[in-house]
Amino acid sequence: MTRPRVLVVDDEVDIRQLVAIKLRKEGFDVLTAENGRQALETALGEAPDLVLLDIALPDVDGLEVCRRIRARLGARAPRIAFLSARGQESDRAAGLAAGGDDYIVKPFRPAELVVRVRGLLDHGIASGERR
Amino acid sequence: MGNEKRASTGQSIGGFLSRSFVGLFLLLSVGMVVNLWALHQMRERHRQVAASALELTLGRYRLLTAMTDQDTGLRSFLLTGSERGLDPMVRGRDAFTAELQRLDTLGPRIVTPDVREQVERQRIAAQRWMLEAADPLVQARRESAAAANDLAGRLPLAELFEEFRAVNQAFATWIAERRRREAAETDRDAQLLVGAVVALSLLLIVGWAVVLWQLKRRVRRPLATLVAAAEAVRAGKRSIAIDLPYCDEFAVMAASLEAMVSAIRRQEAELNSEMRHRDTILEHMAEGLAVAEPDGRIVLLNPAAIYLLGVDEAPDPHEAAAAVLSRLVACDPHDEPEIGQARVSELGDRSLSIISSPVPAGEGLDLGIVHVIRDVTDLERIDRMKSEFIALVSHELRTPLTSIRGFTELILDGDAGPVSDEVASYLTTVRANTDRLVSLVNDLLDISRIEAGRVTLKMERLELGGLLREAAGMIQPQLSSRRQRLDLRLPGFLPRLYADRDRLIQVVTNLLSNAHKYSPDESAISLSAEWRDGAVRLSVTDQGIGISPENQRRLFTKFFRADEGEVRKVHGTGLGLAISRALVEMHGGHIEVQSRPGGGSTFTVVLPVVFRVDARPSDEPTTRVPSQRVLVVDGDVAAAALVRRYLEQAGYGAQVAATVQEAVDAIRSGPVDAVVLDLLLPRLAGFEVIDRVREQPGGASMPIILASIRGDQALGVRLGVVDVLAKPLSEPHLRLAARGALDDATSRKVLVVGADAATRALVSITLRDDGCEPLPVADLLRGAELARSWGPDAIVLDLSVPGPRGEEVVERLQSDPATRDVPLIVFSPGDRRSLHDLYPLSRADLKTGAEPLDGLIAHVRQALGSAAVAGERR
Repeated sequence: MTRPRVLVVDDEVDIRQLVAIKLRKEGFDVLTAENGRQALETALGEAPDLVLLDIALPDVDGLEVCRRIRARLGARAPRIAFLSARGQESDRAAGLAAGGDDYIVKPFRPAELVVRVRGLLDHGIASGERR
Repeated sequence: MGNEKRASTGQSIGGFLSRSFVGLFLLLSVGMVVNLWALHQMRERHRQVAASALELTLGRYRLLTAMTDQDTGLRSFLLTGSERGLDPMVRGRDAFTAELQRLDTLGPRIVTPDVREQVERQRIAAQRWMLEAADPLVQARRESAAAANDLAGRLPLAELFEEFRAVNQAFATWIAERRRREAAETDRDAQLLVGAVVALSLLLIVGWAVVLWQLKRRVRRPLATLVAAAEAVRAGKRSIAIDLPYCDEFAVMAASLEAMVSAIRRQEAELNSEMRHRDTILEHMAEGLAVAEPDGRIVLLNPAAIYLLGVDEAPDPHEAAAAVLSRLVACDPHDEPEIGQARVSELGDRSLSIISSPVPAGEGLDLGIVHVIRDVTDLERIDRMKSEFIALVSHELRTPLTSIRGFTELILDGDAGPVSDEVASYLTTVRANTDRLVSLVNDLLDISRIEAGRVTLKMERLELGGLLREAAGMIQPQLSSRRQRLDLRLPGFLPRLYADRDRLIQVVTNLLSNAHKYSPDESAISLSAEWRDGAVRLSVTDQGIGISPENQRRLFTKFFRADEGEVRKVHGTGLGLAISRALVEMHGGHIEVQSRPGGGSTFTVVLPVVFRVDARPSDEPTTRVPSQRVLVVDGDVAAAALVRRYLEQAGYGAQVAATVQEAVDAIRSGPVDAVVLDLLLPRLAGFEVIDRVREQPGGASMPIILASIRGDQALGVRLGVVDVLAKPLSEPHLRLAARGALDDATSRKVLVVGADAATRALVSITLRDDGCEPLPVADLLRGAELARSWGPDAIVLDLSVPGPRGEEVVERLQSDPATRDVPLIVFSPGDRRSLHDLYPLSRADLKTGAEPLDGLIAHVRQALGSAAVAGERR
């Protein structure tokens, strides 16, 4: 089985780097994007298994990116997890409503992130098989 | 003002009247006394005159008789010469002398000088007759008859006698004359007396007339003046000076009238200024104020409201405002729950906050509405800005924190190669402080959202035990790091509560975390819960450093940190307790602290156990069968009418009973499917109604909804009613309660029998939470009867209070075909085996009291489940 491909979208280069370093160490294939448009292009073009999506992006916000990915790819869409500094209940609700599979609040522990990512991918594969 | 002047110039009418009365009375008395005295005198004199006339007439007559006797004696002696013939003369002379003496002794009142003179004349006349005629003749006769004859021819015997007779006659005439004169005098006196009486009467009449005239003068004029003054006041005059001539009662009255008017003037002035004040406030306040009558007509509309509602151009602002308001606020004046809630409506480019509160418009149930309208456009904008700011700050702070913490972790995890112990220890410090910053940001966000009222609780029915275990589990790693021990003490039964699960966990973990921070290593912390006084009390107790009394007061203020050196070493934001308190208060509860320095602390979260209808009524149309009838028992006719209206609007038939007897009659005479009862019937007959209803045929299972000031569900359970609503009743709650009560046919009926009220309440509440319909009964035999008549789906029999009939009832239930198949759960503190021995073949499920109550509930559930299966099979 090929290495799972994760797209990390964040306008903050530090965060992108942090996530990318950690995930690569854990054996994931990591792509990055720093804004909504790039994220959309990469998600559609590179077919990642998981998108870690920041909400506050400079051009198209993460919720919109999520909706567009879902709209374009439908059942073939990757798992999408939001990675946001907005931690209120309403923010989580909005994220999940936009089609997110998970909502991870910053600041997160890298180790915890890895666990969540693995969980998402396992789940995704399982549900993908069911589909 | 004029009091002093009047005081010097007059007297009171009362004084005048009493003086007049006294004067006239004295006059009358003196007159009467004088008159009576005069009358008495007159009578006395009359009597004396009469007596004296009698005596004198008698005297004159006796003198005359005595003289006649003498004369007769003399003449007979002269004729006969016999000495015996002289006897009458001697007797007459003696009689004469005696009479003279008698007259002399009559006293000066009769024998006046006039009388004496008259008597003297008699005596002289008699003496002359005696000395000049009688005695010489007697002398002569003794010598010889001839000499006597001779002498008789010379002596004027007869003349002298006639002379005496004349004098005597004159005396009689004098007496008569005097008598006449005195009679005339008496007549004159009588006339005088009559005159005096007449004069006295006249005097009295005149006196009375004077008094009356004076009285009239002193009453009519002041009265007219006072009436005129009062009229002037009525007409609106507020400054009067009443000038009265006397200082009397009217003057006092006038003075108090003047004082009253000036008081009225002052009060009116105050009122006016108050009203002007209020009008000014109303006119100048930034909030719009509109007061609507029940029919929607606007009766008060201030300029701000006219402006805010955008009706300043309208020809009739009131009407236009009513239209706008009815569009913006669909507030039924009879609807109560919206009191004080602001709704924000958009009107053009403006955001308006409208608080509409129903207020009694007058007597009865007519409710008007007061709308307070505020322009919150700016507030909304600021609020949005604040939210954006908070979101921004949280984002801007969290992003760098994410990097710092993430990279620190990467290094610590060894992702960047091996880490020396020293580096690891430094990085651990970095990570710990990053965590502090993160929690500070979180707390700040929390508190700002709570303060902005932007936190809404997601209320759900919670099972507390699990929640507390979860909170304990979350804090466990922290405790383990310092080898602190957590004792979780949960009672066998805890009612479920309505609360926000996450928030409640947040509060409990905050308290636990505080206990952890301020307690020494290896100490014990306890987390306990109890149910007491209608509230659940969650306590966190530590053996830590404690809190001084003055710090206890400031404990819940934001950013408060105890200043003691010991405490300063502990990391914290100072926001945790403020947040916890705010969250608990949002739940309607409060936090109590018990602590003393060095003696540990106990923080207790007190949460009311709120029983209430889960949700607002759904909008589904009511498909009510109108045959379902609800009896409203309420002593307050107006309240009953309102409840009846609510029920009828909900599609029920409703009838009202105001007394116990009316209620009983209504249940007897017609089909009644449920009863809504206000406990505050006159003379506290509410409880009696329940008993009487239960006595009626079909009354035992009659659903009763209780309206009570406190809305105390535990009370309801004790009374065996299906629901307790807090007063004032709101329509949605009433509708839900009625629906619940009447549709309960599908819910499981559980008879809860037992002498112990607390157990009955506990079991009943728990069963109700489970969707059962419990019927608590205290008396065992009554319970056995209800087991037959009510037809329960299960029976819980509490024998924890031992009584003589427990076993008898078990036997009865088990032997009666009607109840034999009903699952029976016996709750007993006694020896399990003894009951088993007693009823080896019974299907009774025996529980001992030592086991927690929720075990019992599980048994009930199980029993009901099996009963359902059995029922299906049947």
